[in-house]
Amino acid sequence: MLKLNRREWLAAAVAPAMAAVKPVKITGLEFYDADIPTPKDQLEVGVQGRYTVVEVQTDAGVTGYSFAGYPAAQAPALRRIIVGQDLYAVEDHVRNGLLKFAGVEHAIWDAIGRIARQPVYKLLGGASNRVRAYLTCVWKGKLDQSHVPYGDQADMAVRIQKAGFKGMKIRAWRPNALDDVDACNEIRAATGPDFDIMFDRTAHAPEAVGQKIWDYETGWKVARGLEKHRALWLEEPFARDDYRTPGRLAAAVDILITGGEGFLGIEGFHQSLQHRTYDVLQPEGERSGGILLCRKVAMLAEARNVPVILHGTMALRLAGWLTASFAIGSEWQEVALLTPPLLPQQQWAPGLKLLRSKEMYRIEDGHFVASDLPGLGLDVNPDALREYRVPS
Amino acid sequence: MSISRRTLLAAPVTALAAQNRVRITGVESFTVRLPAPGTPSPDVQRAYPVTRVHTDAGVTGTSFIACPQEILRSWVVPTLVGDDLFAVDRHLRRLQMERGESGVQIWSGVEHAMWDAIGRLAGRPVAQLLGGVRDRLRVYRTCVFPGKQDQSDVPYETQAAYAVKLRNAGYHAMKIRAWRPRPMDDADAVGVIRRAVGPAFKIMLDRTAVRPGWVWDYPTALKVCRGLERHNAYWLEEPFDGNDLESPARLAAEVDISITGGELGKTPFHFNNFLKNKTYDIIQPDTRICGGIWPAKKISVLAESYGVPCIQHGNSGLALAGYIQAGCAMTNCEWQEIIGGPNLPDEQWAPALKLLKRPPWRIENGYILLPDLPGLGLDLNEDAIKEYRRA
Repeated sequence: MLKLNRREWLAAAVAPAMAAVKPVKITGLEFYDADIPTPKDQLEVGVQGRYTVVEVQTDAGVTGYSFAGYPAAQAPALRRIIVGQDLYAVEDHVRNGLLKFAGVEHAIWDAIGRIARQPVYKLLGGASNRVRAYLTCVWKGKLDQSHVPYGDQADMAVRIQKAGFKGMKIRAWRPNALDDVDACNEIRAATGPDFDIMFDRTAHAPEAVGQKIWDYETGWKVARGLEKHRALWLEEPFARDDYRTPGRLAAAVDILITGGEGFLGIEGFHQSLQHRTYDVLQPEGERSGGILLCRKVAMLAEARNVPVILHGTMALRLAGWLTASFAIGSEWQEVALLTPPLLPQQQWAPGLKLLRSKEMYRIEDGHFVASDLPGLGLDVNPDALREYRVPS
Repeated sequence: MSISRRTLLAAPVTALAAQNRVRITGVESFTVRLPAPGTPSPDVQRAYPVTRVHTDAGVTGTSFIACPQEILRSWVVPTLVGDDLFAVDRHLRRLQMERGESGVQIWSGVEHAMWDAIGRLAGRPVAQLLGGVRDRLRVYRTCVFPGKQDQSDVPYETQAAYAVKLRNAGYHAMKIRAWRPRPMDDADAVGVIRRAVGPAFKIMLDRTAVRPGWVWDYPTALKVCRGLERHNAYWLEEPFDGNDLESPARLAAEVDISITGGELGKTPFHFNNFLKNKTYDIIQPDTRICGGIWPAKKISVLAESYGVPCIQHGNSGLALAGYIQAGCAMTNCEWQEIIGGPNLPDEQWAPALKLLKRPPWRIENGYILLPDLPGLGLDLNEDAIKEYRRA
């Protein structure tokens, strides 16, 4: 056993010591909506007035926020999982049930960052402090966008380009699959070569409009067509649980084949890396399991030299997604879904009322620039949350 | 910035303050040499390398892992001084690109010190910032006995007596070398140890064949494993060449004891090759050799996706500080190796107490506890570091 002589013992006992770190416990969790009065005509064109709020309260006197919220009725079950627990045990919280409620994990990270007085992306590797934005546009009307003239899509691309953004994604859902290739042609002609165009088939989603998952031949034809007009990627051309066909297509064509937003937890990403399913992995900031999960997916992908680009979201929710993107050093961050002809700052303008800052995110030359504020980087105004809170 | 009392009172208490980027202002690496109390013993460590990262936030990060002066002067200082302390991943990738694996392997002292500074600035243990999985790690003691390197002059009974000493002090496991010239002798040693220590204590064997000249042929390894199995050993480490991905996999599939390895792996690619080829039942990255705490966490996550435990290779003395933070942030790391012997761990690091204001770790029931201090958790005595500093 360890022996100290008397002098050493006394010296150790009287030396002023570093203060011990106090444990931080989660004391409360709340879900509610904040509704910012917005003119009806604005709401009709797609401006976002309503926000879901997550508050994670701690015994350190700090509250963490996220805007990836859930119905208030879900809160009691989640409280049983996290209230009374160590704030920092994020891996445990995720395993115990937050995997499916990652908006709460976002708020926990916000609290961790606020207590540390540091932006969370810096605590998770801090790979970058800028990420290029691309805007995913879905026009009001038919889900398959068959009513949208190619010219409107080209006009929106030019509008986005003029606002400084570097890329746009649209659906590849038109009933005649090659029509989307023609749309790409028209967009490319309008934007010129220095703009990226992405297409999203969204796997099973077109079943909602009576379509089937593409067969390989269709996927191949569309991919070759898009390639010709120098589109950047084709997203989820086949089923989400099909690890082989996307990889077959990726090996056959030059355009990038991407996917991954449908996976929950680490296993689907592991399998798609093992099968070389996708050229780029796209974990979802909330639905895939959270900020830490996205960071971990990037660790798996790094060992195979596969890029990770997060699936996106909109407005105040985006703070958690951006945190993961900065931590990973991703090339792009999606902003979705944008309702043309709105630009992001127009669509999320009412959300500013919930902040103390003049802007939600700093956007420079089409890039999000990381905030130096602690936590997820939003200067949330608790007074405004109280003012706009919707009584449940 | 000066704030009048009135302004200060008017500011809402919860208002967020923007953080100025914390910049690295200097990096240095030197040695401290300590007087050792009592009789000299081979594993009582008197000299420690110290690597320090200074910042413009007034906080200094410290690790007890060396960084060679050559890379310090030619890469670390010119690249990192003036840059962001927190951008560990960016710095690591740049190092990988500009200096390759060998650079990654030797800069770890700097990486650990950066995390110490980050944790001190955040006011939290580093493990908590990386997902906070556990607050203690079960210790296994690797004992290299005084005498010949291959331990052929060490009586089995000496090894057995040490196992009993460990068990009586609350420890759960011991690892010894499997280097004796006649391979089955080590299996016999395990038999003697097992009889002395009882059934619950874990015994591991390390062939260390990642170093050239130590590679067994497959039949020898199989025979040793069967012998070890009979005495209920836990694992056999690195029976084959470190670049041989297939022989360990073949052995692991054939025998019941675990086959482990990977301590010399440096990049995530190395570990993905081990994992994809099912080379080892347990992978053992070394947070000094693989480039630091952050890359060790990456490797652990990779192993997690394959469902493989990641039990870190160890170290001795104060260098362990970063290992313990990394291990406590891993979902699949149950043990921490502490290398030394034939003393107990806390005897081994006794001289280092002069560098600290309190003992570095508490060991309870064979578990080493994550310190409840910020950063890497060492409460440094700055005066002592000055006093004992050598070149």
